[in-house]
Amino acid sequence: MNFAALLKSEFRKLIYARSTWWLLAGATAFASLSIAVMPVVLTAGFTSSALGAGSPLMNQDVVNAMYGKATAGYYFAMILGAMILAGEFAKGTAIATFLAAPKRQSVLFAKITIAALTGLAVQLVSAAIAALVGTLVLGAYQHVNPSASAFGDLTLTAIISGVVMGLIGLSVGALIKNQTASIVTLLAWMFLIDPILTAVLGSMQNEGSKYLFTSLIAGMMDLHISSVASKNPMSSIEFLPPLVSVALLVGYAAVLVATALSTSMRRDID
Amino acid sequence: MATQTEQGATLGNSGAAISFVKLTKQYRTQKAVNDLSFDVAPGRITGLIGPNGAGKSTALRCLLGLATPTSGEAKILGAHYSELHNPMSRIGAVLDSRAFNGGLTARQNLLVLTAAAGIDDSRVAEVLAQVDLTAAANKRVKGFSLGMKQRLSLAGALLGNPEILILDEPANGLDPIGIAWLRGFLRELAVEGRTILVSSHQLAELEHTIDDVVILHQGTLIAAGTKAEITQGRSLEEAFLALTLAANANPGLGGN
Repeated sequence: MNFAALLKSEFRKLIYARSTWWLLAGATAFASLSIAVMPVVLTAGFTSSALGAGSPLMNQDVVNAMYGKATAGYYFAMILGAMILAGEFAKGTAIATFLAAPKRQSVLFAKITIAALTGLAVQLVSAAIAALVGTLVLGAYQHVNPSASAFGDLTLTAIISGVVMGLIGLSVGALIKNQTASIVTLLAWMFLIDPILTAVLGSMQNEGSKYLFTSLIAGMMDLHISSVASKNPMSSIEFLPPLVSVALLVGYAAVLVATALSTSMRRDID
Repeated sequence: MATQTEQGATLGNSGAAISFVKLTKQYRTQKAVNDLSFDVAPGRITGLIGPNGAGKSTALRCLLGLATPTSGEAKILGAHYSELHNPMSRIGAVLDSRAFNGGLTARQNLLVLTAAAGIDDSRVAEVLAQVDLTAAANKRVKGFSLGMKQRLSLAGALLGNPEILILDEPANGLDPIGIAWLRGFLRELAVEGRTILVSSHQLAELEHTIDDVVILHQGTLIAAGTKAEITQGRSLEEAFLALTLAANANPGLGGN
């Protein structure tokens, strides 16, 4: 089976589906909103006359962190990843897919590639537009410019987070198979279970909290600030350094992808 | 010794286009298909008939590599489906009329398949015309009637201009006009020399279409042969009822 042909087929499925464009728009809106509210929130306690040298926006680290919010659309990259495989079963198209290309390993590798590329594209597009929105909003305030490396780091963060989150989404979609259940599981884990575990472990001063999913993502997102680990707001435990966080997230994704591959290879298609 | 058909297909050692050999598929405690063996001759229309739950769909899914047999095997053109190079150009299959993304147009759904199978995109317009769906090519499939979805499934199966067609309950949900259309369509395909294996529990629909008959009952083969051999002057429905009643009376007996 021609791998390029399978990639082309997967690409067509994505660009033809309206949900892809809605999720890209959602990622862009979410990231743009995340960055746009930052100057408002950061300067909320300041009178207009005080907005000058004392403003948080005159601190380059704060401005860099504000631009870091441009990568906040990674949830949508994860949802798209889940839909790439679980969506086949939800829509009933898995039969046609595996009849056209019965070598499951090739199809699954094509889906892994597309999930990574889709996550990357979603993050790059949404981060670029959000950074532009951030620049426009920031223009209304007195501020310092971000550091020279900020946009390079932002791009790197968008690429890594897009690939990793796309793959994690795909893996969970492959393991759970039911599209709605897989997306609900991902979001419940991100917004409910993981934060609760973080808070509980953090309150016990348990170092395990920094190995949890959301802590690693927060650590990964610190790529744009510096290589120094920052603090978890829900506990006194520090996040792991960005590169370690990335390595662990890639490791988690690899384990999930391997598990998803082994289950999908054996599973009957219905 | 393998043989060649007019269309260049390599057949298995038995000369059969499709062969099931002692195929068994068990789901936990239930045997959906039990020790099934039969051949489908090239260039003929074979009806795989049986009541709902007889194991027809499961047997076809095993044949097409979508389900893994518990034991035994099923081969097409002498090989497992997954071993065939570019299978859509040799075998077309309709297993489920819902097998298309409702949010995509008919044309887009077929373009996804041509890309995966390495088939020229120009075939999409040809097969849509073949199943009378040209006017609906750019309409979203979720707005299609069941009959239109069945025709789109047939269009998908024909994309690679295959020599073998495997159709699972293609008349399910069709109105009388749709069934008449399907009957004529299958005849046209058969005239072109294609091998067709069609499963159904609607016997009247198949009566005038098929050459050979395979009857399944509770996952077990109870009869296989030419239509004349099986019916022996009766209607297909009468023959089917007599054979299934006999199988119920003697559950240990398979037959051919």
